[in-house]
Amino acid sequence: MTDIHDRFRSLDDLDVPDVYARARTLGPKELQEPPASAARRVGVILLATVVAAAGFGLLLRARGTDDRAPAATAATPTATATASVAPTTSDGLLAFAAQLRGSTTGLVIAVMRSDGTGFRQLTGLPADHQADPQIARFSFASDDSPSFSPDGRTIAFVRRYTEGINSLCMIDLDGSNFRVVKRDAQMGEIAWSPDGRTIAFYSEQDGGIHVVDVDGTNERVLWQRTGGPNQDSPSWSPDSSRIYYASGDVWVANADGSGSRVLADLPRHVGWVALSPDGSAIAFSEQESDGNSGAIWLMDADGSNVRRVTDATSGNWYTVTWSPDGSRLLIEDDRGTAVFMDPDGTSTGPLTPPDGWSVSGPIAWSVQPA
Amino acid sequence: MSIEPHDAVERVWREQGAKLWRSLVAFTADPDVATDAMAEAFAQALGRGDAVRDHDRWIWRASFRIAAGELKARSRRSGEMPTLSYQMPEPVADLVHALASLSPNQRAAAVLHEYADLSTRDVARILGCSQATVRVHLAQARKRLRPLLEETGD
Repeated sequence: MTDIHDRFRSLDDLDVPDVYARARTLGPKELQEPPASAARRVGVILLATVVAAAGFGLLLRARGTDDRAPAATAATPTATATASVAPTTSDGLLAFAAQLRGSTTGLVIAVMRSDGTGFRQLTGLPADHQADPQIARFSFASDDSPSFSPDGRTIAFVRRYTEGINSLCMIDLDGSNFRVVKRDAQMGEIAWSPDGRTIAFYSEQDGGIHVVDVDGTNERVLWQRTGGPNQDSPSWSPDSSRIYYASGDVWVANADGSGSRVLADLPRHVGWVALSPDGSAIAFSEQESDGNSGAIWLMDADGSNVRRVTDATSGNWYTVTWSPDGSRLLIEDDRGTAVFMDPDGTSTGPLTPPDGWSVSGPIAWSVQPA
Repeated sequence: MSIEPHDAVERVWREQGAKLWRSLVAFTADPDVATDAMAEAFAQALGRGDAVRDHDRWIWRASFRIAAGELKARSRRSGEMPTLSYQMPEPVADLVHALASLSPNQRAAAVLHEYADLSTRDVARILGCSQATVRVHLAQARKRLRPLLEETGD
């Protein structure tokens, strides 16, 4: 088994030139590429890396030792397949970012019933790519962070063209009606409010939590990060009046930004928070400081009765999602392994996407529309 | 007693310069690009004086962004694609070659986390994205790197 971490240690054999001496000889006029803090500038620079990736592709072909990666194309093939998964009956629909093995394109949004049937690729197809002019500009798109509308008929997601440049997009569950709702959205994870009116999101602009109306207008800052950990994974209360989020600990605040407080002061870093559908319990992931291991925990919504769900050594679990009826959890590790679990910690089997597909990033779980 | 800005920059070089340069080599596959980007970042940090508050993070961010900008410029000049013609030990060349198969974001996340030993939180700050996004990049990078490195390992 290759230990990737160990393989990186070979870099320590490289002799390092005296870069600092050179830096001291450089005058301001010689500087060509000032680092920018504005997201637009970052995007322009990192757009370069997408273009440069094509150069690396040429490099690989020139060396002639890797012929497995197909040429980059804007869209990956459509897939309709059946996955293997433990539950025998569906208790809802899952949406997640997926990638076809060997693909050099970005992630696409796919849906699948919780019983493993009905896998469908929704984005990364000609229809949605042609409807998004930003793809022609950047020649790349990667879709992630899906969130269902309250009726389960529409999925909001974030489309990333390059680091720092992304859009809030929506698509109906039947694959129609793709639209870009907000450009230059600077969004991380998103959460559609239960009342259907707003979307809360982690802002890549300031590391805080923002909300925006579902039509992409009226963005406002709820909590601006002023130091300390980023504020991650917003999760709405059932009545849309409060938002729970991770910021080192488990936090809660009113949806207008007032009344923020720590619900539970935990000894380790909390990286993910998910409120149960009925609002009675909170599932969260607790991360070791090195980011290499994580566990899933539960507590009551008032911060009491904290109990462990996963074993400390069972994996690096970092996201958790509730089933629509609150009876089950779907937890995911940092390698894309997703496992169904009862709240008492009993595993009920893995979620396995169809052959050739892998799951990446947070999974949304919704009722299945009639 | 306050620390002079130049002292802070020099401290970053002394304590992290080697790791930063090697990380940039892994990211760019080109020691010259790594050296140029890093020299520019340090020069700018020196020029900005106390306008830079967190020198460690600022210099890492600037170095990676400048390096990305240079890769862009090179990609626009035909015949100037990065090559592995530099004298590198074979294990390093194998690693750099495997990294080249990743997307830029995956590559940056992998280098910063697996080699520079930065937490996903710090990687997120350098790349300007959320921790969850970094974890997605890392998961994809590991999945891609593992078979490639097994081919060349041992």
